[in-house]
Amino acid sequence: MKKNEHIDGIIGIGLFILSIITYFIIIPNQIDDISFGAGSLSPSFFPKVATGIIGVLSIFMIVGNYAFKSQTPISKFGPKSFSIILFLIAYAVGIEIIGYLAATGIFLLALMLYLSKKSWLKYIFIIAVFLVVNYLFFEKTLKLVLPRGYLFQ
Amino acid sequence: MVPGLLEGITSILHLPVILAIAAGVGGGVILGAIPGLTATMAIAVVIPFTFYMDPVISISMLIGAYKGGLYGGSISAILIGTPGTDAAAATILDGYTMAKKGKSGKALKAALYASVCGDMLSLLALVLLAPQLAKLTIKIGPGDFFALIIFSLTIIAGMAGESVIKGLIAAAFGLLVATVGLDPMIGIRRLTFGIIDLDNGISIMPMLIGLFALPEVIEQLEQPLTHDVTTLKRSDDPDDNRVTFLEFKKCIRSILIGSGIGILIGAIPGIGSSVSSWLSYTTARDRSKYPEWWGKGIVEGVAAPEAGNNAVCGGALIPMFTLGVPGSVPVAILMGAFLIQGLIPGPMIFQEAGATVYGIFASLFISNILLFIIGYLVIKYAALYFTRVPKVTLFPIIISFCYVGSFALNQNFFDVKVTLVFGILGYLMRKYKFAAAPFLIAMILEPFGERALRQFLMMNRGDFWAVFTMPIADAFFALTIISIFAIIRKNTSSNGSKHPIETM
Repeated sequence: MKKNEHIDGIIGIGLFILSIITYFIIIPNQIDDISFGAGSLSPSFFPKVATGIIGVLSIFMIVGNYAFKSQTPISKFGPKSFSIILFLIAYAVGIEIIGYLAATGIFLLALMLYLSKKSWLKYIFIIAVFLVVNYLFFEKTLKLVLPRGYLFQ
Repeated sequence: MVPGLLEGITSILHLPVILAIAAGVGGGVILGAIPGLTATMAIAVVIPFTFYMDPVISISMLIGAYKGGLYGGSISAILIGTPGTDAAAATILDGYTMAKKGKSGKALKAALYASVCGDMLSLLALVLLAPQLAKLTIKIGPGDFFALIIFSLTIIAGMAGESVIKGLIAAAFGLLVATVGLDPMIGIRRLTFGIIDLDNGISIMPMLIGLFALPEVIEQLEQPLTHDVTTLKRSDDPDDNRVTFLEFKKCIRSILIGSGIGILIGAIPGIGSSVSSWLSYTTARDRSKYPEWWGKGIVEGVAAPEAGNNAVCGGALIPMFTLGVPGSVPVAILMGAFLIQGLIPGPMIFQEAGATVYGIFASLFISNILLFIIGYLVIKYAALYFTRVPKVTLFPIIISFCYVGSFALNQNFFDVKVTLVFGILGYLMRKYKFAAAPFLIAMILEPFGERALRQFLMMNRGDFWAVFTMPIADAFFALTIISIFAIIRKNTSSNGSKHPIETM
C-alpha cells in the first residue's frame, strides 16, 4: 500500500471531527443565540451553515477516498519546509521581543546563511541597505512606528 | 461618462501619481519576470506601500503591479523557457523557440506590443461596459444579491484546483472565518474567543498576504537554489530584434482573438489568465492560415497568449465594479484594497465615488502607456538580469516585506500573527491541494451575502421562499444549477473512470 493513499481520507476524518466540535461545542459557546424581530436570522446561523457544509463535504472526501480510492496527488514535505516555517515563527516572535529592525537583521542573515553559506559579507551589505531603506521609508516618510519589541519599549 | 473620464485624467496628471503608477508597473514587471513569482505576489508585495496613499494613487499602483506582473511573466518564459507566471506558460511555445533562434528581442517586443494592445482593448471594454452594466445592476435587491453571491461562490469553488470537493471545503472555511468578529446586524461577538483584536474580524490584507505570498516563498525556498540559467545568444541582425510593421500587421488578428477571449474569460468569475492565454493560443492557431508553423517560433504565437492574458485584467474588473464580485485572486486583493480605502465595489460605486472611479479608469490607461515604456526599457537593458535575481537574498527580503506590510495597515502586531498563521495554513492547503482562491473569495463575499440575506428576510418577515418569486434571483439560481451540472460533467468526463463522487 502506498504511503499517501489515504491522506485525503485522513484529512476528511479530521475535518469531520473539527466540524462536529465547531458545530456542537465552539459555536454554542462563542455565539449568543439571540435574534430580533420576525424573520431575523440568529447570529449563529451562517457559522452553523458553513460548518455544516464542511462536515457534509468531509464525508464525501472520506467516502471518495476509502470507497472509490480517490486521492489528489500530494506534494512531499521536506525537512527544509519545516525549517523555513520555524524561521518564520522565530522571526515573528523576535519582532515582538526585540523589535522589527533588530529581528529583521538577525532573521535575514540567519535565513540567508541557512540557504547558502557563500558570500556572507555580501549578505550583510544587502541587509544593511535593506534595513536603512526600510527605516527611511516607513519611519521617516510614512511616519510609521515600526515595532520596538518588549525589550526596547 | 466622457466628462467624468476627462475629469479623472486631469486629476491624475501629476508627477507623484505618475511616479506611483510607474513604481507599481516596474515592481510588477520585475517580480513577474522572476520565475515562480506571480502577478498575485507582485500585488501582495506592493500593497504595504499603498496603505497611506490617496485611493486613486493606491489602487492605480496596485493595478499597475498586476499588469506589470502579467507582462513580466513573459520575459522569463521567452528568455529561459520558464514562465514567470502560470499565465505566461503558453508564451513558451513560440517565444522560447524564437529565443533559441536568436530572436529573443523580437519575441519580447511582440509580447510587449500584444500585452499593451490586449490591455488597452480590455480597458476600453471596462470603461464602456462597466458604467452601463452598473445602471442595470443598481436594480438588484438584497434577495437578488444573495442569489448572485451563491452563484459566484459555486462557480469559483467549482473552477478551483484539482478537487472540487476540496475547493468547496476551502470556500466553506472562508465563509466560516469571515463570520469571526461582530455580527453585522446586531453587533454581538462571534467566534472571537475573547480576543479583542478579533472584534473587527480578521483583517483581509494580513490574511491574504499570509495566504498567498508566504506559501509561495516557502515553496520557492524548498527548491534547490542553484539556478543555472542558460544564456541564449541574441542575434546581431536588427531585424531579429524588432517587430516589423508587416509582422505586427500579421499579429493583429491574433491580438484581437486573444483580447476578445481575455475580456470574456476575465469577466467570468473563477477562470483566470492562465486559461485565457492557452485558449487564445489554440483559438488563434486554429484560425490561422498556417497552423503548422505555430510552435516553431512565430510572432503570432507569442502575440495571441500575451494579448489573452493581459486582456483578463480589464475584463476581470467588470464584475468587480458592477456587481462587487471578485472573479480572481488578484482582483479579490484589489477589492480588499478598495475596501481598505473606504470604497465598496458594486453598482453604487459609480454614484458614491464616481470621481474616484473615473480617476482609476484614467490611471489604467496611463499605466498601460507606462507598461509600454517600462517594458521597452526592461527589454533593452535589464530583462535577463531579472530572471537571475538570486533567490537566497530575494525571498528572505520578501518575507520581511510581508511582515512589515501586515503591520503597516493598522500598526498592530496582531496582524503579523494573522499573516503567520494564514501563511502556514496556506502552505498546508497548497501541499494538500486545497485551492486558496475559493477561501479568499468566499471570505470577501460572505459579509455582503450574509447582510443581503438577513435584510431580505427581515423585509419579507422570514419568508425565504419569496426569493424564488424574484426574476433576477431566479436567473442567478438557474445559473447556479447549470454551473453545478457543468462542473460535475466536466470533472466526470475529464477523470474518465473515476467515480463522480470524488470530483463533485
